Amino acid sequence: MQEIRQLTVLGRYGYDSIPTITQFAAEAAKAALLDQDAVFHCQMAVDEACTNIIEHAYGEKNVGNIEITCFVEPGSCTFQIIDHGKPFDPDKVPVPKIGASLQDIRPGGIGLHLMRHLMDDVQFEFAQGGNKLTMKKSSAPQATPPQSIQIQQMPQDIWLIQPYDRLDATTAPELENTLIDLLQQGRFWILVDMAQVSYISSRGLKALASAWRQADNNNGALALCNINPQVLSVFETVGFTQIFTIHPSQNAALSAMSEQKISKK
Amino acid sequence: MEISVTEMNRATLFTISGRIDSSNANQLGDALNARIDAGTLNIVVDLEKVDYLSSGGLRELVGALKRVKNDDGDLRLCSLPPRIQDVLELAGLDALFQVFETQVLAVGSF
Repeated sequence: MQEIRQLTVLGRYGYDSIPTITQFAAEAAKAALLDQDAVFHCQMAVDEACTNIIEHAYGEKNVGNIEITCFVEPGSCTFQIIDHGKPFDPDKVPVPKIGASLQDIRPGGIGLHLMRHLMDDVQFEFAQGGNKLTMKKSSAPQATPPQSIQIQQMPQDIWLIQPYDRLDATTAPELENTLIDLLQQGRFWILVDMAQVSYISSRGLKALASAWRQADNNNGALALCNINPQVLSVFETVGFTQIFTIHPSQNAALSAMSEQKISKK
Repeated sequence: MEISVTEMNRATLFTISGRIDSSNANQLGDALNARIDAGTLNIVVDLEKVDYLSSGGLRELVGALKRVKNDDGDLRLCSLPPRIQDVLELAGLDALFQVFETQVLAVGSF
């Protein structure tokens, strides 16, 4: 299952096209499910390659187009970069001396050196009147988190909410708003499944606590399940294990909450 | 990229944020060179808020370092995010720059 992405960089924009190029590379690497470091490395390597093309192959004047094709598959991303400038021979680029003194440092060659270190494989060819550079990067494919908080109505009108990844200052508002919406609709029986939550900040804790209070005030309940040990230790530290009912699994939580709801009627 | 320049007693502090690549590295070079032209010799560059730095930016830093070293000054770096530290090492430039954990340590080192 391979996806092919293409970007044609118009030469007349010169170095101004670099941000577009790095964004293209980062998006392709993310689509290939590479880890965050590998995504960063792809951005840098493609940037360095295109910067070199503009500077050396096209000599910064009458810069021609650059064609970037990216072959994306889970766990690997291959970039093919074609230009029609002067033939490039990587063997003629002096290898920068690592640990060279300041006088000996020559800025040229750093880009090529970085590309070779950042990517798993780097190959140059000169064919059909153009330079073709092929660079590949692989990493263990990363799990894709769901794009948003999942909300589901369960039997007994219990509402199941599944946040994901990190609940910090930037992501907690989404959870906060989801909870507020439910409470405003009079849904006071809420189960928050924390299975996919790897981190919670004070903002995330606050969102849960204020929803818990509102549910409790309205003769309902907000319970939690599947909390991972790191997140649980945060709950313990702030004393939240005293407030929240925490269930080991979604099923256990749903049946306990159903019984509790029936007995309250 | 944003650059702010603060004159301290011991050194001139450049606080940079955002991305530095070949499309904007010359802005960094111009900012550094303008101060060096005006006689500044001791420079601290705070990279804490920099999330991307390619060889274009490194080249400007090395160029400025060479200029101030010629007159017995120095350009020192501080607060490098881990990925930027990696880039500096991969480029083989980590030995050229004195790198400090914090701004206070870097400025105080002069």
